[in-house]
Amino acid sequence: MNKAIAIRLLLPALIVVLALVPIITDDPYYTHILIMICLSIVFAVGLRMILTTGQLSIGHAAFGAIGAYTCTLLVMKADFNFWLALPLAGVVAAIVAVLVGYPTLRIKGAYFAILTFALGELIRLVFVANWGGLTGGNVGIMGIPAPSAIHIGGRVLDFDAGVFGNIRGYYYYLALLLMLIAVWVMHRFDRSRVGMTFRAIAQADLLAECVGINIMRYKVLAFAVACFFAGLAGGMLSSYIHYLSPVSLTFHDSIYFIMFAVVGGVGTISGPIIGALLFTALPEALRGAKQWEPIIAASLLLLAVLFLPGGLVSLPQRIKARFEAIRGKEAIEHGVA
Amino acid sequence: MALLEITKLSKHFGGLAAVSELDLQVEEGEILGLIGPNGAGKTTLFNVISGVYRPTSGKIIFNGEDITGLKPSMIAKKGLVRTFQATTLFDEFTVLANVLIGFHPHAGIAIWGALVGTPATRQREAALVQQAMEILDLMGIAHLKDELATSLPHGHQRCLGIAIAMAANPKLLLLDEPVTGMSREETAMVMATIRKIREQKGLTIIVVEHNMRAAMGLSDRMVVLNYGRKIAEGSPQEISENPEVIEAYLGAERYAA
Amino acid sequence: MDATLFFQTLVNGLQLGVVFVLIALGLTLVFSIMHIINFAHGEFYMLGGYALFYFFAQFGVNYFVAIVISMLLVGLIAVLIERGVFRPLRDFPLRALVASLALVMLLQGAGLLGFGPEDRGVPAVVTGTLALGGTIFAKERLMVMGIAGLLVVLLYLFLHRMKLGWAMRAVAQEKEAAALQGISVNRTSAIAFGLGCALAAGAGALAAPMFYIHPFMGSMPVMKAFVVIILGGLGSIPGAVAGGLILGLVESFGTTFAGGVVSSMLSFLILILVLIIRPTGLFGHE
Repeated sequence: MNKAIAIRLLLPALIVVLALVPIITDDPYYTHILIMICLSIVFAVGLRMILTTGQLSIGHAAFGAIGAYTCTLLVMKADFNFWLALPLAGVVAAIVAVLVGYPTLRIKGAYFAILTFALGELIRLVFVANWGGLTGGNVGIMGIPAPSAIHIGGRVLDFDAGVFGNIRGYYYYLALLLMLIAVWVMHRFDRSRVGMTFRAIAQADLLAECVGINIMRYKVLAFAVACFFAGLAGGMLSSYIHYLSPVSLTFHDSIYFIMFAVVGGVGTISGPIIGALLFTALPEALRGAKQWEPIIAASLLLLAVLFLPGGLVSLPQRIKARFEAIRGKEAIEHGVA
Repeated sequence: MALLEITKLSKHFGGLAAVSELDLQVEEGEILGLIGPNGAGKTTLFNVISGVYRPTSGKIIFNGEDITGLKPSMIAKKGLVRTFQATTLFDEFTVLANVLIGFHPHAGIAIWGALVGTPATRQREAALVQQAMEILDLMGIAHLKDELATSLPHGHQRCLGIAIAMAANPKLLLLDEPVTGMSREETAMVMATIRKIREQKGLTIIVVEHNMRAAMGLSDRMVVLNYGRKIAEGSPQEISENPEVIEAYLGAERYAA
Repeated sequence: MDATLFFQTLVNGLQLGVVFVLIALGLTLVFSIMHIINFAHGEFYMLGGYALFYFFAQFGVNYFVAIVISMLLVGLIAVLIERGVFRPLRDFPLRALVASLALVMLLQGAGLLGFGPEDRGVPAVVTGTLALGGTIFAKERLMVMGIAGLLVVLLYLFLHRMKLGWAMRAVAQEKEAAALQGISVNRTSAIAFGLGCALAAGAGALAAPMFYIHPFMGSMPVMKAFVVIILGGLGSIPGAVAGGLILGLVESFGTTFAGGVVSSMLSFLILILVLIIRPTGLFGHE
């Protein structure tokens, strides 16, 4: 069967199934896992987009934290409506990305990695410092309200009340929507000339520059778009968990986002999605031996970096190539070729 | 007026003058050969002209415009495009995709159009594919359009490098060692191609080349550099008989031996 | 401010600085040879701390001998890691960077599992203070400063007086040229990584009696080390020494006058500003 047609048929079916989840189950625990998977995917596909320009961000979670604090503070201290505060959370994260990205993305490799790392720590410390009593310091902010209810033609979508008997139903829909938008946007980038330009810059930046590509503009674009979505995901996370502190999104989470992307595979957008699924499911599978979880996760990352640079999504192709190589060899040995 | 006019151009690295006080004019439509022994400053000169390095002093006027110190991407957009010495290509892309990237300056990217995939965008992309195929055809590598750039033989890779530059629609093309290190057949093929694109597109070309015979064969006029200075200028015939040039080359070879 | 407080803060800053120098030297040495930013450098510091805890506090080995043992042991582990992880990734800087992040998690996870989550204390080696004109020195800190200073001098002598050290500097400057002269890049990388991590372990062992030991103790020092090597210029050894001492002073004065959080923020802010304005470092060349 034609692969493109299969995907065109399967994708809407998958989305319909995902949309039906709150009806299928009202189990808050599974719903929670699904929400976390959706948000993880938002972070991971963004991180991958930065990677396609040849840069590694080690502070991606920090942009989630910026979004989370922006959204929370706007709602709690400035009486903003959540639905206005959430997009602003993304915008603020993107603005920070542009401000720090412009001067530093021109330098390749290690410098940008260190910068994003340091930025993550600086941002964490800003929230710890608790200037003007805004962020609550290490204690954090408790009692973050749910997103304000939406009124549509007489119906009220109340996040506290849940939907179809699933208490987390609306949060799930919000996370799902965010994830679908992020994946769609990144996918469109990927398929377009813009995404192609990202990859060209990663392969030969000087050549790209010498055919007239303003490589800074593209690197900053990728970084800003990825951070915009990280900000949105962070903003949603805080209102869902109802709690936010400087350790809600840290360096460790950033490593996990890298892990989702790299183990899944950065070549296609499906890679980070698979990675996010795998690594969010892993702790659940290991619930009896939780202390092994970081070791197993880190080992998988190390193995992928060393032996499977294309990630899990490249595995079928790898196996096929290996299989064909063996068959070819046998054919030669048997004198068929 | 000359298409490219360089006056008193210098580039120093620390205390070392890789290019010093160089004056150079390139007339529209000519092929200028730039030769000189190793370390004469040819590649540095290319890097300065194309904006990869910022000159220490001096002025570069291209097409009546001062381009001194502009970024490479700006210079390329104005129609001054270079190729690279090594086989610098977009390795993981197909041959066709490599050329498509080269169209960047006039592909007219609208991010919104790219995201939504508007019909206008799709039409433009289809037109670009056709143009890319024309360039590949001209370079004689159209049949390889779906191959990965890395998998091509050396000669074809150099042709692809030129094809990428051609896509950027240059007025002036800088070719950095297009045939150095090639076999005789490959050299003949690339040289024929360079002549062909000059004729068909009316390009002006500056070529740096180590292979003396190829450089003489291609150029209308030649300039010889040594230690970052111009030591001779003239027709290939004049250059081959210039005692100072012979000395520079022999001296360099004696030193190398 | 009065003179006593000033001198006390100055001395504290230098004490802190010498430990920073030690950690940063290893990091910058590894970068100069292998062009890898080893994010797991702090985990080797942690391993050094635990090695000292076991050999000195548990098995009763002499303190100074225990320091040497921890450095050797961690250095050996590092050489194996270089061989298995970083050597195959030499031509893939981005992948090597990700590998070092994986090592952070792997070693922290292994530390948690192997050594347990609780804080471990190492008894003080020397106690008492020394008063000089109103400034009070803890003898233990003076000794730490002395040993750290000695290690820095030894490294300098190694790099400048011994053939192997000369070879390493050659590789740092021009890898291809060094290879042409018959210097083995493989061997040099292994030694540089082993040596760099041994220095981190030495710092961990020296810090052990002053701080508690736990599996995550390496996170903070490695961040400071990043600030130091960026200040001093990536790959520059004199830069790391100067950067380490400067950061020690900044932190010491910052903590005294503005508190710990602000002082830490200040160091990251400096790092980011240096990266943005002068990425080659304050002492680096263009």
